[in-house]
Amino acid sequence: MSELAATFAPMSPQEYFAFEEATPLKHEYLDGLVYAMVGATTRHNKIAVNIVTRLNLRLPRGCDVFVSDVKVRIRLAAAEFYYYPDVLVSCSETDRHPLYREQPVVIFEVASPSTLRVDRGEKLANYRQISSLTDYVIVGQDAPEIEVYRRRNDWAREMLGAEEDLALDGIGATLKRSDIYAGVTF
Amino acid sequence: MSLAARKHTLISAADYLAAENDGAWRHEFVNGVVYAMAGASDRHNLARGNLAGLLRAEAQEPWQVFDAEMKVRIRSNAEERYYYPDVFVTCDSADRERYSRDHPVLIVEVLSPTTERIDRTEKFAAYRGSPTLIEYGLLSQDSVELELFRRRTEWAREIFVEDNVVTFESVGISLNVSRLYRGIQFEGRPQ
Repeated sequence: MSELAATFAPMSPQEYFAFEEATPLKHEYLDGLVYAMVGATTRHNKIAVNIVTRLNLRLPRGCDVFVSDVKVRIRLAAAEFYYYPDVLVSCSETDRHPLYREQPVVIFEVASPSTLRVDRGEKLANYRQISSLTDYVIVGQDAPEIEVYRRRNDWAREMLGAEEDLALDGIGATLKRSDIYAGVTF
Repeated sequence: MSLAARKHTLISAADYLAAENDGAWRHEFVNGVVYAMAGASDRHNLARGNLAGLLRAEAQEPWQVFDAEMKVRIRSNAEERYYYPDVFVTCDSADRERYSRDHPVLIVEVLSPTTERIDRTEKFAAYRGSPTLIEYGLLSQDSVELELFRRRTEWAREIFVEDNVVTFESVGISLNVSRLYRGIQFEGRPQ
C-alpha cells in the first residue's frame, strides 16, 4: 500500500535535475511528474535545424537561440514546469541559468502526430503564461502547416498562409516558409 | 492569414457533430481541431466497465452514468470542446442532448501510456472549467490506484490504493477501490 502510494510522491525540481543527470533520456517536468521525451525523426530534426540556422543569422544582438537541449522553466502560482522546446530564443541578460531559460521571447515546436495535441493544448496554455514570450510557433512535421500564436493577437491561432513568411514580433525577424522547410518534401 | 489554410485545418462544431454522429470512428473536438480516439487495452476496458457498472448499480434518478461512447461538451469564453470521458456522471434532468452532456459532476479517465499526459493536463484543465464538475478521477490500469481531485479541496490530489474505500461525493457512493479491478490480473499478483 504505502509502496504503491509512494510511486505518486511528486518529484521536487531538485530531484528532477538529479534524475535528469542520471538518465540518458530527456524528461519534461509537469508539477511533480516527469514524462520521457520521445526520440525525433530525421525530418523533425532537419526542420528544427533549418529554423535555428536561419534564426541565428537574423538574431538581434544579445539574443541567443537554443535547440532541443535547453529547458524552459515556467513557474505559476501553484505549479512548476520544465519543458524542452525544439527551438527557443532568449534575449535577457539576466536569464542565464546553465540548464534553463525563464524569459524566452520566441518558442518553436516541430510537431509530430504524437506531440501535436500536447503542443497545441498543454504547452500553449503554459507557454503563454511566460510574460516575456511574444510568439509561439508550431511547425508541422508531416504537413507544411505552420500555426502561429502571438501575444498581441491574444494567442489566437493563426495559420500561416501557403505563400506567407513568418514574422516574429519579439525579435523583429522574418523567416521564409521555404527556408523552414528547406530540403523537406511532403 | 490565408483563409484557405485556415479552412483546411479548422472545422466548426456543427460540422464535427454531423460527421461524428454518423461516423464509425470516435473523435474529440478541441476548438476546431479534431483528434481521433485510440483503441483501448483489455485492462483499460475492464476497469472502465467495472467503475461504470458499480456507479450505475447505485446511482439514482436523475443521475446518469456514461462510459466511453458519450460526449461531454465543455464551453467557456471562446472555447468549445467535445470529449469522450471513460466514465462520467451527470445529475441534471434538463441536460438531455441526444449526443452529449453539458453538466458532468464526476469524470474519471482510465490512464494509458498514450493518453495519460493529455488526461492530466489538457483535459483536467478543460474539465475544471465545467462549473458543475465536483470530482475528477484518474484510474491506473497498471496497479490498484485511483487518484481523485475534488473542487472542494481546490483539486488537490488524493490517492486511493488497494482496499482503500473511496467516496465519490458527487454521487454519494462509497466503494472499495479494489473492486474496480475485478477480473484484472497484474503480473505475478492475481487479484
